Amino acid sequence: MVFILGIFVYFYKLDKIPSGFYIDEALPGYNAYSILKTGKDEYGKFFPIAFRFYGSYNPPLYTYLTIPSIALFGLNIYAVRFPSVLFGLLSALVFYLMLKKSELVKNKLTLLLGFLLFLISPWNLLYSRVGYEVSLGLLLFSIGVLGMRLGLTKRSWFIIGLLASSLSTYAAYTERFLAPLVIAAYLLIYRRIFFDKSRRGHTVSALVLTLFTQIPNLYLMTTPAFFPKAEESFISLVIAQSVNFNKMIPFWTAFLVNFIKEFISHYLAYFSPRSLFFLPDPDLQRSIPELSVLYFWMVIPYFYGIYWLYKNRSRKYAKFLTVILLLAPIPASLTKDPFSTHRALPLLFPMMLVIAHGLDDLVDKLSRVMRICIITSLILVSLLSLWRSYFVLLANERAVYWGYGVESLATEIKKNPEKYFVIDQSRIKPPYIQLAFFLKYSPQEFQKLRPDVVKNYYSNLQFDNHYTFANIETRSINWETDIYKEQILVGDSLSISGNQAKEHFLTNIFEIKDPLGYTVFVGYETNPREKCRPIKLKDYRCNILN
Amino acid sequence: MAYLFLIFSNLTSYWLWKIVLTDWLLGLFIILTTLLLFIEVNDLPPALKGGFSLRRMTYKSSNHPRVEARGFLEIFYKKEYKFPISLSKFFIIFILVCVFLQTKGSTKVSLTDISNDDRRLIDMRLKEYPPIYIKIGQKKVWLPIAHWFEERKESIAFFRLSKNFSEVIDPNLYFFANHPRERVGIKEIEKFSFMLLPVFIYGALKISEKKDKWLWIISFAVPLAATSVIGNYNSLGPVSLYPFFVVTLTRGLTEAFFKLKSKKLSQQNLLVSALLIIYFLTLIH
Repeated sequence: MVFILGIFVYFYKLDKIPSGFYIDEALPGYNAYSILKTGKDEYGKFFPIAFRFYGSYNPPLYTYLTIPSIALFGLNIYAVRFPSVLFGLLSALVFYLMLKKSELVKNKLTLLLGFLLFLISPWNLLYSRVGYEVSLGLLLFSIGVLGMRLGLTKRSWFIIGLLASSLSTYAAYTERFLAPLVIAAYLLIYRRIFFDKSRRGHTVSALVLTLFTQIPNLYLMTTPAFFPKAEESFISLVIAQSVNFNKMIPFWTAFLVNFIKEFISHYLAYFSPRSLFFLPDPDLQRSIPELSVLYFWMVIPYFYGIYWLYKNRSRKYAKFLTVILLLAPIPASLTKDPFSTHRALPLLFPMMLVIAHGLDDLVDKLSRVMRICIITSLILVSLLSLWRSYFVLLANERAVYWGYGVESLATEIKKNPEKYFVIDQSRIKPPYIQLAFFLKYSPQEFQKLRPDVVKNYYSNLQFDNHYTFANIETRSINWETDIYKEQILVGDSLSISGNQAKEHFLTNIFEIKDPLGYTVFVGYETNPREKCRPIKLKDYRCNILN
Repeated sequence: MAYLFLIFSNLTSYWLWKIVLTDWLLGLFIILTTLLLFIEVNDLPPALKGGFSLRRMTYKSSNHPRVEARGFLEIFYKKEYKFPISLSKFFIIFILVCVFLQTKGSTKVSLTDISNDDRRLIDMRLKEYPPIYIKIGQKKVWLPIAHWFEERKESIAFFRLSKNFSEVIDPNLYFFANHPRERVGIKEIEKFSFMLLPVFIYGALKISEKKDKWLWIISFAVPLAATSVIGNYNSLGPVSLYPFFVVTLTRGLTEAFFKLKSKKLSQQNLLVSALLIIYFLTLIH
């Protein structure tokens, strides 16, 4: 029953909510399509070990796993989001298994409740219903954690745990740094078990096998593609702060103090009830309006769960859970963002376990009637909050942040194949890949656009967002020259004002609005003859018309 | 030693200096409340009993068992004097006074009044909901869910209460002046050095092990509830929570000190020196 409810919530209007199709979804989607058709990515690289995309060099697993879905459903939004939904649902199943195998849950009801809460947690739902690789990262990380937990007693699970953790480094950035940390901490804590004479050989063999799976990453480490997001860390900020204190204390001392302070403040934010239960992610594209990553009422079982961990600190399971909980937000805490929910997604797994154990302890104290009343009310409140924030507010208010309107723009472009479109991207993320996606542009043709990239694929960090393909050009509008050519200028309401349109004799030919009625794209056809006629200039820009 | 740690926690708190320098009467109440909570909460570890404390000096001066157990306040009373009111009740009165003084110094924000901008947002959101009805026989009963969520006073009050609550419960507010999620338009102040954060957590876990910890819970719950209602719009911050933080810190410091005492001398020196250097560097910072 619980799983069926989960399936319904996860698949309901999957291609419609979030409204729009973001560039980070279009990139794996189109590249999977390109691999499916040609065996090469958008730049013509044969099965890359990291996808260059727009210079981000994303781990490749999600893109590869999207290929069957695109082969099955075609190149559309549903096909790109489908694998992610599947991974989100499977993560909940792994969570259920982990909770069950802890053997510390007193009530069967809590097992089901924990499973349901994980399924409907806004954090998991948001990232499972979009075509992002982080959901796959969470699934593999969770399997890794479960495997390691069970691997304390069963050798086969130990290998599964290590391999899943190793694979997770090919799924998402966070896991690339988190998985080695977790494995190292795990082996260190349980060194007596794993390096005992009876298990030493097995442990070493499993580690060698794991290392073998890391060969692509080890190769990548020798290229700039391994760490392309270095500028997202707060180090530059800390250096700037430390320079200011240079006169009072030595630079390195100031740097150390500033670094520790900055890191702890970010790290603590991942455990702060305000961030976890009340405030959404500050990034509007990665958050749900009026809803945090977990439900507000969970703050009580959260505190109780931490107390439960402390009470049971001598148990192997509690110790293991504490280590995972403490390690999970470390990679995310090293970045500038105050509470980056997509980078900290692996934290959801240990955090929900803590909450489930806290809930179990609390439920145990209640009478049967009270238990049913309270749990039913909490589930109802959670589902209503989710419906309001995700299915109503997010669908309408966040459409513009999710690339709403690009699909309609592609339809307009398709309707006018003889006309040339200049798409202004001065205030939006480069829409080239979304357009290629919706136009189903031939991958063979697309690969010809940047022929040089493939020569030094893993060290070509510079991304040029000026694209010209089909009857499209994506760049900023050049008001000096663009109005003297016959074409359609496309921008948002700020790109082309009414006065500009009047001044340059532009004709409005389409307007695309978001669900709230605000203009996201407006298309104006230029009229160079009319523009040149009244001024009667012998301008070189007008000469080309004659 | 525990008293020394209490003095240390108070003197090194940027928050207390700010409170005292702004409003000495409030500062005085805060210090007294802290002292009362400290006496109530602090079960001194056995090793401390031989150390210096006012409790030893005044131990035999009262017949009141509860006061005898806590000891400290007796210094103010003569021999044979029966304490008229228990220390815990005293504490509750003091904490309520602190809450009152905090309320006086806060900018009051209504839980239900809506500004023009709120009205605009509500109007926009009312249009976003799909029409919802239930069918009873042949009759459709329309449910005004959009109105319930967005417009009803109860909903607005609930959302504001949870916002206020979340602001006060955030540990970053006390150790990092709300960094990295500072509130817009509010000048945040740093209250305690971030170096004391692990000690605070340790103290909280240690106190939570106690059976008789209800007063400690009250010292957190009452100011938390009050600040959730009045809002955290006070230039001095949620001052009524000061006793809770300082007492928990002191407990953490005391426990950590005795944990350290069982380690080797070289380890002790190394740890203490490292912590002190970083601590004073942060003070300079």
